Amino acid sequence: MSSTKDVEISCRAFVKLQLHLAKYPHCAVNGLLLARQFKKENKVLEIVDVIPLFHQCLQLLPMLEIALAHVDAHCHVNDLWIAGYYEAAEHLNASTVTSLFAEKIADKILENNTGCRLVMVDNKKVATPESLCFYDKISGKWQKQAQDKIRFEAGCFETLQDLLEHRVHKDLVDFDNHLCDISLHWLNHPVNHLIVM
Amino acid sequence: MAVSWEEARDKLRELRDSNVRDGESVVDLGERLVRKYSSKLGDELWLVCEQVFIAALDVDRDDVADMCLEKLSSNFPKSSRVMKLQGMMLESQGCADEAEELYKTILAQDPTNAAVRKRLIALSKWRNWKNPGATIKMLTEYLEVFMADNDAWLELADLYIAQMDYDRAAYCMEELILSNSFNHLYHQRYAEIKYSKGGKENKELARQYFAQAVKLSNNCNMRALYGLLMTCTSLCGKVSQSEDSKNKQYATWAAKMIAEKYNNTWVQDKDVSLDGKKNVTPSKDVPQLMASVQQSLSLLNLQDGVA
Amino acid sequence: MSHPLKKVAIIVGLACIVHAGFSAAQHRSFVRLTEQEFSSLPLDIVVQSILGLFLASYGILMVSGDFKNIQVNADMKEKSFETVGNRFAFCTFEHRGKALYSRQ
Repeated sequence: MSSTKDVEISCRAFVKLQLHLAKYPHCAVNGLLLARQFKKENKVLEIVDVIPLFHQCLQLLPMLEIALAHVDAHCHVNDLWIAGYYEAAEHLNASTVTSLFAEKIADKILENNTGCRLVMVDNKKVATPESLCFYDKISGKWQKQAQDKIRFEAGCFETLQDLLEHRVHKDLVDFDNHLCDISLHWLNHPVNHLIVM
Repeated sequence: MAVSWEEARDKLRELRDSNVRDGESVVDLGERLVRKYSSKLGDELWLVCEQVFIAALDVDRDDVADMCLEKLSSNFPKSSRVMKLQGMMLESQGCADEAEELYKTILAQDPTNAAVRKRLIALSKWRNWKNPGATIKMLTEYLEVFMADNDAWLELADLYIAQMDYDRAAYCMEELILSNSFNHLYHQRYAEIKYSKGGKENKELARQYFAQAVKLSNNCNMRALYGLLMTCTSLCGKVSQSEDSKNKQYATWAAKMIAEKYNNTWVQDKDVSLDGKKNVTPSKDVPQLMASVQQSLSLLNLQDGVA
Repeated sequence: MSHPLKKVAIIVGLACIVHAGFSAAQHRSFVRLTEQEFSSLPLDIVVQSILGLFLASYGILMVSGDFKNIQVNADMKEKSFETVGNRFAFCTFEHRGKALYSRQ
C-alpha cells in the first residue's frame, strides 16, 4: 500500500469519540478506532466504531494490554479490525503533533494491523470534525493526512450536539469505568442505540 | 425533573465526600441551592459555595462563580481560603501573573499555608505544560517540607508517569506504600508502573504487588486481578521450572476469579429489568459478551503456550 | 427500635443503677441498725444493678451511631482511582472544557 487511503468516519465512531472527550474534559484520554475488515475493492478506510479506553495515567501498560486483548477478541467475532489509536492531551493548547507514547502504541498496533492510523485530538476544536488529525505511517514516519481526505457521515455533527445537550456523555463507558464496575460495558450499547435514533 | 432542595443537598454532599469532579452536575444542583435555599443550609452553605464555585470554574460559568465568591467573601472577608478561591478565579480567566502575585502575598503572611503552595504548583502545571520539569522541581521542594501529603506524592507520580519516567514514579509510590501499607490502590499502581517499566525482575515485582493488591482488596480490585493474570502469563517460560508451574497456577486462579466475576454480574443484570436508571448491559448481548470475555481470557492464557 | 426509645433505655438503665446504689446503702444501714453480721447484698439489688448496666450500655451504643469496621482497609475496598485520582488541590482549568462549554 503506497498511497494513503481516504478515511470515512461513521456517525457512531465520531460521536462516541467526542462524547469520551466531553465526559472527561479535564483529563487526557485515549481509545481505539475500529474498521470493517478490508476487502480488495475497498477504496476507503471505513471507521465504524470507537472503543474509549482510559482517562487516567494513559502511559501505564498493563491495563492497556488487557484492553487490547478484549478489543481483539471482539474484533475477531465481529469481522472488524483495530484501525487506529486516538489520544487527546490534557492541556487546552496542547499541540496535535504525535506524542512519543502515542507513536509507540500506534507502532505496536501497526505490527498486526497494517494501515492503522494515529489520531491526535485538537482540544481547541473539540466537538467539531476538524478536531481530529489523522496520521499515517509513510516510509517509517507518522505523517499528517490532509483534512480533505477525511469524510464524516452526514448528520453526525447534529447528532453529537443533540446528545451533548442531553448529557449523554455522562453515560458513556470507557475501559477505566468498566474496570471499576464490570457491569458497565465498554461497547456502550445504550449509547449506540441513542445514536441510531 | 424537579429535585427537592434536600435531595440536591444530599447529592452534593455525596459528590463532595467522594471527591467526584463533575462540574456539570454540581453546577446544575448547586446553583439553585445557593440562590434560593441558602438560608436553609446552615453552616453547610459555605462548603456548598466552595464546591459549586470550583465546579463553575470547570464548566466556564462565571456568573455562578461570581455569586458564590461574593457570598463567601462577604461572610469571611479576611480568610485565606477565600483569597485562594479568588486566585483560582484569576487562573480560570487566564491571568497567571495576577494569580501568582495573590498567592505569594498570602504566603508572605502565612508561609505554612499548604493549600496555597499547592495552587502555585497547579499554576505552574498549566503555565509550564510544555516543560513539566519546572513543576516537578516545585513539587519536590514542596514534598521536602510536607512529606506526609499523599495527594502531592500521587500528583508527582502522575507527572512522572506522563513523562514515562517509570523509575521515579515507582519511588513516589514506594513512599505512599510505606505510609499506607493497607491501601490496595497504591499497591496496584506500583505494580502497574513496574510492569510498564518491563524486564523480568520488574515483572516479578509487579506480580507480587498485584497479588498483594488482590489480597488487600478481598479479590475486588479488577485491575489487580487482571494484572496478576497478565504478569503470570508473561513470566511463563522465562523463569525456572518450579516458578513456572506456580505462575501457571496463579494465572489459572486469576482467570477463574475474573470469569466468575463476569458471570455473577451479568447474570444478575439479566434479572434486573431495564427500567432501572443504571446504564446496564442489555441482556440480549450477554451471551456474546461472555463469549468475548472468555475468548480474551483464553487469549491471555495462550500467550504462555506460544512463548 | 426508634431513636427516642433508645434514649429511654439509657435513662431507665442509669436510674436502675442509681436506685440499686441507694438500695445497697439502705441495706447496709439496716444491717447496722439491727446489729446483724453483713454477709452479702440481697439478690434483687445485684440483679437490678446488672440489668441497669446492660440496659444503659445498650442504649448508649445504639444512640452514638453506627459501628466502624475493625479492619483498617475496610472503607478502602470500594474505592478506586476514579475518585482518589481527582485531586482538587492540584486541579487546573486550562482544559478542553473551555472550548467545549464556550461553544454550547
